[in-house]
Amino acid sequence: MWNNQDFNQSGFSQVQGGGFNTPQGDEKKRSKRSNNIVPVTVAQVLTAKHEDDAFMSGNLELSQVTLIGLVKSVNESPTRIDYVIDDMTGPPLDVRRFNDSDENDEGETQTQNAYPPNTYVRVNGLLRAFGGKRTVNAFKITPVTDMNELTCHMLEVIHASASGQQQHAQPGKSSSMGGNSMEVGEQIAGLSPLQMQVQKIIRSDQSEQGCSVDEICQQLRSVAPKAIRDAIEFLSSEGHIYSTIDDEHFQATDA
Amino acid sequence: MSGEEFTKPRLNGSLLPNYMGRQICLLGMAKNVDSSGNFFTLTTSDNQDVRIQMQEPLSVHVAGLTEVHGQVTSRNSVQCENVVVFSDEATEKFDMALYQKALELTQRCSNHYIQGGIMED
Repeated sequence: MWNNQDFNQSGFSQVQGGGFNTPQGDEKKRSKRSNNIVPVTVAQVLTAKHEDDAFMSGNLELSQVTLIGLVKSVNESPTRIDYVIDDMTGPPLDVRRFNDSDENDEGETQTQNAYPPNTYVRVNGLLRAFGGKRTVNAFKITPVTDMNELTCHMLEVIHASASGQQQHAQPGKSSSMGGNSMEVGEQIAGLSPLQMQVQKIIRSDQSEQGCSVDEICQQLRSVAPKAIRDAIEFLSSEGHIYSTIDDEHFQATDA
Repeated sequence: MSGEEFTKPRLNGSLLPNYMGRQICLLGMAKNVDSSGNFFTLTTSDNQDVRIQMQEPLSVHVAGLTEVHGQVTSRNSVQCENVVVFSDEATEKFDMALYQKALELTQRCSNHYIQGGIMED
Protein backbone atom coordinates (compact mmCIF):
# COMPACT_ATOMS: atom_id res chain seq x y z
CA MET A 1 0.00 0.00 0.00
CA TRP A 2 2.79 2.36 1.00
CA ASN A 3 4.74 1.82 -2.15
CA ASN A 4 1.79 2.47 -4.37
CA GLN A 5 1.26 5.78 -2.64
CA ASP A 6 4.81 6.73 -3.30
CA PHE A 7 4.64 5.81 -6.94
CA ASN A 8 1.60 8.01 -7.34
CA GLN A 9 3.43 10.85 -5.73
CA SER A 10 6.47 10.52 -7.87
CA GLY A 11 4.11 10.45 -10.81
CA PHE A 12 2.75 13.75 -9.54
CA SER A 13 6.14 15.33 -9.38
CA GLN A 14 6.95 14.12 -12.85
CA VAL A 15 3.97 16.03 -14.18
CA GLN A 16 5.48 19.11 -12.60
CA GLY A 17 8.64 18.60 -14.54
CA GLY A 18 6.81 18.53 -17.84
CA GLY A 19 6.89 14.77 -17.58
CA PHE A 20 6.10 12.69 -20.58
CA ASN A 21 5.56 9.71 -18.35
CA THR A 22 1.98 9.26 -17.25
CA PRO A 23 1.74 7.38 -13.97
CA GLN A 24 0.32 4.46 -15.88
CA GLY A 25 3.20 4.51 -18.30
CA ASP A 26 5.50 4.49 -15.32
CA GLU A 27 3.84 1.42 -13.87
CA LYS A 28 4.30 -0.50 -17.10
CA LYS A 29 7.91 0.48 -17.41
CA ARG A 30 8.59 -0.37 -13.83
CA SER A 31 7.22 -3.87 -14.18
CA LYS A 32 9.71 -4.50 -16.96
CA ARG A 33 12.59 -3.34 -14.84
CA SER A 34 14.45 -5.23 -12.21
CA ASN A 35 13.16 -4.98 -8.67
CA ASN A 36 16.57 -4.81 -7.10
CA ILE A 37 17.73 -2.14 -4.75
CA VAL A 38 21.34 -1.34 -5.49
CA PRO A 39 23.84 0.01 -2.94
CA VAL A 40 25.54 3.01 -4.50
CA THR A 41 27.75 6.01 -3.89
CA VAL A 42 26.57 9.49 -4.79
CA ALA A 43 29.29 9.74 -7.42
CA GLN A 44 28.01 6.52 -8.93
CA VAL A 45 24.52 7.99 -9.17
CA LEU A 46 25.74 11.22 -10.72
CA THR A 47 28.12 9.60 -13.23
CA ALA A 48 25.70 6.91 -14.40
CA LYS A 49 24.69 7.06 -18.05
CA HIS A 50 21.08 7.96 -18.69
CA GLU A 51 19.91 5.99 -21.71
CA ASP A 52 16.37 5.01 -22.71
CA ASP A 53 14.93 6.20 -19.45
CA ALA A 54 17.27 3.94 -17.47
CA PHE A 55 20.35 4.83 -15.48
CA MET A 56 23.33 2.58 -16.10
CA SER A 57 26.45 2.43 -13.98
CA GLY A 58 28.61 0.01 -15.90
CA ASN A 59 26.43 -3.10 -16.12
CA LEU A 60 24.28 -2.20 -13.19
CA GLU A 61 20.90 -0.65 -13.75
CA LEU A 62 20.19 1.95 -11.09
CA SER A 63 16.56 2.36 -10.27
CA GLN A 64 15.95 1.71 -6.60
CA VAL A 65 19.08 2.67 -4.74
CA THR A 66 20.32 2.75 -1.20
CA LEU A 67 23.05 5.00 0.09
CA ILE A 68 24.51 6.40 3.29
CA GLY A 69 25.56 10.01 3.64
CA LEU A 70 25.77 13.08 5.81
CA VAL A 71 22.86 15.51 5.90
CA LYS A 72 24.22 18.86 4.72
CA SER A 73 20.99 20.81 4.66
CA VAL A 74 17.30 20.38 5.29
CA ASN A 75 14.43 22.29 3.75
CA GLU A 76 10.94 21.57 5.03
CA SER A 77 7.83 22.40 3.05
CA PRO A 78 4.19 21.38 3.51
CA THR A 79 4.33 18.41 1.15
CA ARG A 80 7.88 17.20 1.57
CA ILE A 81 11.31 17.57 3.08
CA ASP A 82 14.27 18.27 0.81
CA TYR A 83 17.66 17.10 1.96
CA VAL A 84 21.11 17.60 0.53
CA ILE A 85 23.17 14.51 1.25
CA ASP A 86 26.95 14.23 1.03
CA ASP A 87 28.80 10.90 1.14
CA MET A 88 32.24 12.36 0.31
CA THR A 89 32.41 10.65 -3.09
CA GLY A 90 31.32 13.64 -5.13
CA PRO A 91 29.05 16.69 -5.19
CA PRO A 92 26.17 16.56 -2.73
CA LEU A 93 22.92 14.89 -3.84
CA ASP A 94 19.35 16.18 -3.64
CA VAL A 95 17.08 13.79 -1.83
CA ARG A 96 13.35 14.39 -1.47
CA ARG A 97 11.18 12.80 1.12
CA PHE A 98 7.51 13.26 0.32
CA ASN A 99 4.98 13.19 3.10
CA ASP A 100 3.09 9.92 3.10
CA SER A 101 -0.63 10.37 3.06
CA ASP A 102 -2.57 7.31 4.05
CA GLU A 103 -5.98 7.90 2.57
CA ASN A 104 -7.60 5.33 4.81
CA ASP A 105 -7.10 7.73 7.66
CA GLU A 106 -9.30 10.31 5.97
CA GLY A 107 -6.47 12.29 4.51
CA GLU A 108 -4.51 12.55 7.72
CA THR A 109 -0.91 13.12 6.78
CA GLN A 110 1.91 11.54 8.65
CA THR A 111 4.23 14.26 9.78
CA GLN A 112 7.83 13.26 9.70
CA ASN A 113 10.74 14.47 11.72
CA ALA A 114 13.46 16.15 9.72
CA TYR A 115 16.91 14.78 10.41
CA PRO A 116 19.39 17.45 11.54
CA PRO A 117 22.43 18.50 9.48
CA ASN A 118 25.76 16.84 10.19
CA THR A 119 24.16 13.50 10.99
CA TYR A 120 24.47 10.31 8.99
CA VAL A 121 21.36 8.82 7.41
CA ARG A 122 20.51 5.89 5.19
CA VAL A 123 18.43 6.74 2.15
CA ASN A 124 16.37 4.18 0.23
CA GLY A 125 14.67 5.55 -2.83
CA LEU A 126 14.10 5.88 -6.53
CA LEU A 127 16.59 7.56 -8.80
CA ARG A 128 15.02 10.26 -10.93
CA ALA A 129 16.10 13.07 -13.21
CA PHE A 130 14.21 16.33 -13.66
CA GLY A 131 15.48 18.55 -16.43
CA GLY A 132 18.97 17.17 -16.20
CA LYS A 133 19.23 17.29 -12.42
CA ARG A 134 19.34 13.95 -10.65
CA THR A 135 17.52 13.40 -7.41
CA VAL A 136 16.52 10.49 -5.29
CA ASN A 137 12.89 10.30 -4.22
CA ALA A 138 13.28 8.60 -0.90
CA PHE A 139 10.63 6.24 0.34
CA LYS A 140 12.60 5.67 3.50
CA ILE A 141 15.20 7.66 5.40
CA THR A 142 16.55 6.35 8.68
CA PRO A 143 19.25 7.64 10.99
CA VAL A 144 22.50 5.69 11.18
CA THR A 145 23.17 4.96 14.83
CA ASP A 146 25.79 2.27 14.37
CA MET A 147 28.62 3.39 12.10
CA ASN A 148 29.37 -0.22 11.24
CA GLU A 149 26.47 0.32 8.87
CA LEU A 150 28.70 2.69 6.94
CA THR A 151 31.47 0.11 6.73
CA CYS A 152 28.91 -2.46 5.63
CA HIS A 153 27.56 -0.12 2.96
CA MET A 154 31.04 0.48 1.52
CA LEU A 155 31.52 -3.26 1.22
CA GLU A 156 28.07 -3.77 -0.28
CA VAL A 157 28.71 -1.12 -2.92
CA ILE A 158 31.90 -2.84 -3.98
CA HIS A 159 30.26 -6.25 -3.94
CA ALA A 160 27.28 -5.15 -6.01
CA SER A 161 29.52 -3.52 -8.57
CA ALA A 162 31.88 -6.48 -8.75
CA SER A 163 29.03 -9.00 -9.06
CA GLY A 164 27.47 -6.95 -11.81
CA GLN A 165 30.67 -7.05 -13.79
CA GLN A 166 31.33 -10.71 -13.17
CA GLN A 167 28.01 -11.75 -14.64
CA HIS A 168 28.94 -10.09 -17.88
CA ALA A 169 32.46 -11.41 -17.84
CA GLN A 170 31.47 -15.09 -17.59
CA PRO A 171 30.83 -15.78 -21.28
CA GLY A 172 34.31 -14.53 -22.04
CA LYS A 173 35.91 -16.85 -19.52
CA SER A 174 34.84 -20.18 -20.97
CA SER A 175 36.51 -19.52 -24.29
CA SER A 176 39.88 -19.82 -22.67
CA MET A 177 39.00 -23.29 -21.39
CA GLY A 178 39.13 -24.82 -24.86
CA GLY A 179 36.51 -24.48 -27.54
CA ASN A 180 34.61 -27.69 -26.76
CA SER A 181 32.47 -26.65 -23.85
CA MET A 182 29.86 -24.15 -24.87
CA GLU A 183 28.77 -23.75 -21.29
CA VAL A 184 29.86 -21.05 -18.96
CA GLY A 185 32.00 -23.46 -16.99
CA GLU A 186 33.47 -22.50 -13.68
CA GLN A 187 36.81 -24.04 -13.10
CA ILE A 188 36.95 -25.98 -9.89
CA ALA A 189 40.31 -25.62 -8.30
CA GLY A 190 42.20 -28.62 -6.99
CA LEU A 191 41.04 -31.22 -9.49
CA SER A 192 43.37 -33.46 -11.43
CA PRO A 193 43.00 -33.37 -15.23
CA LEU A 194 41.07 -36.66 -15.22
CA GLN A 195 38.75 -35.53 -12.43
CA MET A 196 38.12 -32.35 -14.36
CA GLN A 197 37.28 -34.25 -17.51
CA VAL A 198 34.90 -36.59 -15.68
CA GLN A 199 33.23 -33.66 -13.98
CA LYS A 200 32.81 -31.89 -17.30
CA ILE A 201 31.19 -34.91 -18.92
CA ILE A 202 28.78 -35.36 -16.03
CA ARG A 203 28.03 -31.66 -15.98
CA SER A 204 27.21 -31.53 -19.68
CA ASP A 205 24.60 -34.26 -19.25
CA GLN A 206 21.43 -32.41 -18.52
CA SER A 207 19.13 -35.44 -18.46
CA GLU A 208 17.11 -36.18 -15.35
CA GLN A 209 18.69 -39.49 -14.49
CA GLY A 210 22.12 -38.06 -15.05
CA CYS A 211 25.17 -39.50 -16.66
CA SER A 212 25.98 -43.19 -16.24
CA VAL A 213 29.43 -44.52 -15.42
CA ASP A 214 29.33 -46.56 -18.62
CA GLU A 215 28.73 -43.47 -20.69
CA ILE A 216 31.71 -41.78 -19.09
CA CYS A 217 33.91 -44.82 -19.76
CA GLN A 218 32.79 -44.80 -23.35
CA GLN A 219 33.73 -41.15 -23.76
CA LEU A 220 37.11 -41.72 -22.13
CA ARG A 221 38.05 -44.97 -23.77
CA SER A 222 41.75 -44.51 -23.28
CA VAL A 223 41.31 -44.30 -19.52
CA ALA A 224 41.01 -47.34 -17.29
CA PRO A 225 37.50 -47.80 -15.83
CA LYS A 226 39.03 -48.11 -12.34
CA ALA A 227 40.63 -44.68 -12.69
CA ILE A 228 37.32 -43.25 -13.80
CA ARG A 229 35.50 -44.76 -10.83
CA ASP A 230 38.17 -43.37 -8.50
CA ALA A 231 37.66 -39.95 -10.01
CA ILE A 232 33.90 -40.26 -9.57
CA GLU A 233 34.40 -41.30 -5.96
CA PHE A 234 36.57 -38.27 -5.32
CA LEU A 235 34.18 -35.85 -7.01
CA SER A 236 31.29 -37.30 -5.08
CA SER A 237 33.02 -37.01 -1.73
CA GLU A 238 33.92 -33.40 -2.54
CA GLY A 239 30.33 -32.66 -3.36
CA HIS A 240 30.80 -31.81 -7.03
CA ILE A 241 28.54 -34.65 -8.16
CA TYR A 242 25.78 -36.76 -6.64
CA SER A 243 24.16 -40.06 -7.51
CA THR A 244 20.66 -40.03 -8.93
CA ILE A 245 18.62 -43.16 -9.75
CA ASP A 246 21.33 -45.55 -8.60
CA ASP A 247 25.03 -45.80 -7.87
CA GLU A 248 25.85 -45.82 -11.55
CA HIS A 249 24.26 -42.50 -12.46
CA PHE A 250 25.48 -39.06 -11.47
CA GLN A 251 24.65 -35.39 -11.90
CA ALA A 252 26.82 -32.36 -11.24
CA THR A 253 25.90 -30.10 -8.36
CA ASP A 254 26.64 -26.88 -10.18
CA ALA A 255 24.95 -27.64 -13.49
CA MET B 1 31.49 19.24 -14.52
CA SER B 2 34.21 17.20 -12.91
CA GLY B 3 33.42 15.67 -9.58
CA GLU B 4 37.00 15.65 -8.38
CA GLU B 5 36.74 18.98 -6.66
CA PHE B 6 33.87 17.71 -4.53
CA THR B 7 35.41 14.39 -3.62
CA LYS B 8 36.74 13.91 -0.11
CA PRO B 9 38.30 10.44 -0.20
CA ARG B 10 38.09 8.38 2.97
CA LEU B 11 41.61 7.86 4.19
CA ASN B 12 43.80 6.79 7.06
CA GLY B 13 47.06 8.25 8.34
CA SER B 14 49.32 6.29 6.02
CA LEU B 15 47.57 7.55 2.91
CA LEU B 16 47.69 11.24 3.81
CA PRO B 17 51.02 12.00 2.08
CA ASN B 18 49.43 11.11 -1.26
CA TYR B 19 46.75 13.75 -0.82
CA MET B 20 48.69 16.85 0.15
CA GLY B 21 46.59 19.98 -0.10
CA ARG B 22 43.45 18.04 -0.92
CA GLN B 23 40.08 17.75 0.79
CA ILE B 24 39.75 14.42 2.56
CA CYS B 25 37.70 12.53 5.13
CA LEU B 26 39.12 10.80 8.20
CA LEU B 27 37.20 8.55 10.54
CA GLY B 28 38.98 7.67 13.77
CA MET B 29 39.22 8.00 17.53
CA ALA B 30 39.73 11.45 19.00
CA LYS B 31 41.96 12.16 21.98
CA ASN B 32 44.20 14.84 23.50
CA VAL B 33 41.99 17.84 22.87
CA ASP B 34 44.10 20.83 23.86
CA SER B 35 42.76 23.24 26.44
CA SER B 36 42.05 26.01 23.94
CA GLY B 37 40.02 23.66 21.76
CA ASN B 38 42.13 24.43 18.70
CA PHE B 39 43.82 21.06 18.26
CA PHE B 40 43.17 17.41 18.88
CA THR B 41 44.63 14.10 17.80
CA LEU B 42 42.76 11.62 15.67
CA THR B 43 43.94 8.01 15.66
CA THR B 44 42.98 6.59 12.28
CA SER B 45 42.01 3.02 11.42
CA ASP B 46 45.63 2.03 10.73
CA ASN B 47 46.69 3.24 14.18
CA GLN B 48 48.33 6.40 12.95
CA ASP B 49 47.99 9.63 14.88
CA VAL B 50 46.96 12.66 12.87
CA ARG B 51 47.00 16.18 14.23
CA ILE B 52 43.74 17.97 13.61
CA GLN B 53 43.79 21.75 13.56
CA MET B 54 40.52 23.61 14.04
CA GLN B 55 39.77 26.85 12.22
CA GLU B 56 37.94 28.06 15.28
CA PRO B 57 37.90 26.58 18.77
CA LEU B 58 35.74 23.52 19.23
CA SER B 59 32.21 24.20 20.36
CA VAL B 60 31.35 20.55 20.87
CA HIS B 61 32.84 17.94 23.14
CA VAL B 62 35.06 15.80 20.98
CA ALA B 63 35.80 12.27 22.19
CA GLY B 64 35.64 8.74 20.88
CA LEU B 65 34.55 8.00 17.32
CA THR B 66 34.93 11.17 15.30
CA GLU B 67 34.96 12.08 11.63
CA VAL B 68 37.00 14.97 10.29
CA HIS B 69 36.55 16.61 6.88
CA GLY B 70 39.32 18.95 5.87
CA GLN B 71 42.46 19.72 3.98
CA VAL B 72 45.74 17.85 4.29
CA THR B 73 48.39 20.29 5.47
CA SER B 74 51.29 17.91 6.08
CA ARG B 75 52.10 14.19 6.20
CA ASN B 76 50.29 13.89 9.49
CA SER B 77 48.12 16.95 9.93
CA VAL B 78 44.79 18.12 8.63
CA GLN B 79 43.05 21.45 8.85
CA CYS B 80 39.49 20.73 9.86
CA GLU B 81 36.50 22.24 8.05
CA ASN B 82 33.82 20.05 9.57
CA VAL B 83 33.78 17.61 12.45
CA VAL B 84 31.17 14.94 13.17
CA VAL B 85 31.15 13.48 16.66
CA PHE B 86 29.46 10.17 17.32
CA SER B 87 27.76 8.88 20.45
CA ASP B 88 29.44 6.80 23.12
CA GLU B 89 27.31 3.90 22.01
CA ALA B 90 28.50 4.24 18.42
CA THR B 91 32.08 4.51 19.65
CA GLU B 92 31.78 1.29 21.59
CA LYS B 93 30.15 -0.68 18.81
CA PHE B 94 32.43 0.44 16.01
CA ASP B 95 34.67 -2.20 14.45
CA MET B 96 37.74 -0.19 13.47
CA ALA B 97 39.63 -3.16 12.03
CA LEU B 98 36.78 -3.90 9.65
CA TYR B 99 36.61 -0.25 8.61
CA GLN B 100 40.33 -0.36 7.84
CA LYS B 101 39.76 -3.39 5.59
CA ALA B 102 36.85 -1.69 3.85
CA LEU B 103 39.04 1.37 3.32
CA GLU B 104 41.77 -0.73 1.74
CA LEU B 105 39.19 -2.26 -0.57
CA THR B 106 37.89 1.12 -1.72
CA GLN B 107 41.48 2.04 -2.58
CA ARG B 108 42.15 -1.23 -4.39
CA CYS B 109 38.81 -1.44 -6.17
CA SER B 110 38.35 2.18 -7.11
CA ASN B 111 36.46 1.04 -10.19
CA HIS B 112 33.82 -0.50 -7.92
CA TYR B 113 33.66 2.16 -5.20
CA ILE B 114 33.07 5.11 -7.45
CA GLN B 115 34.34 8.50 -6.36
CA GLY B 116 34.67 11.60 -8.49
CA GLY B 117 34.51 11.20 -12.23
CA ILE B 118 32.64 13.12 -14.89
CA MET B 119 29.17 14.04 -13.69
CA GLU B 120 26.53 13.49 -16.34
CA ASP B 121 23.91 16.07 -17.36
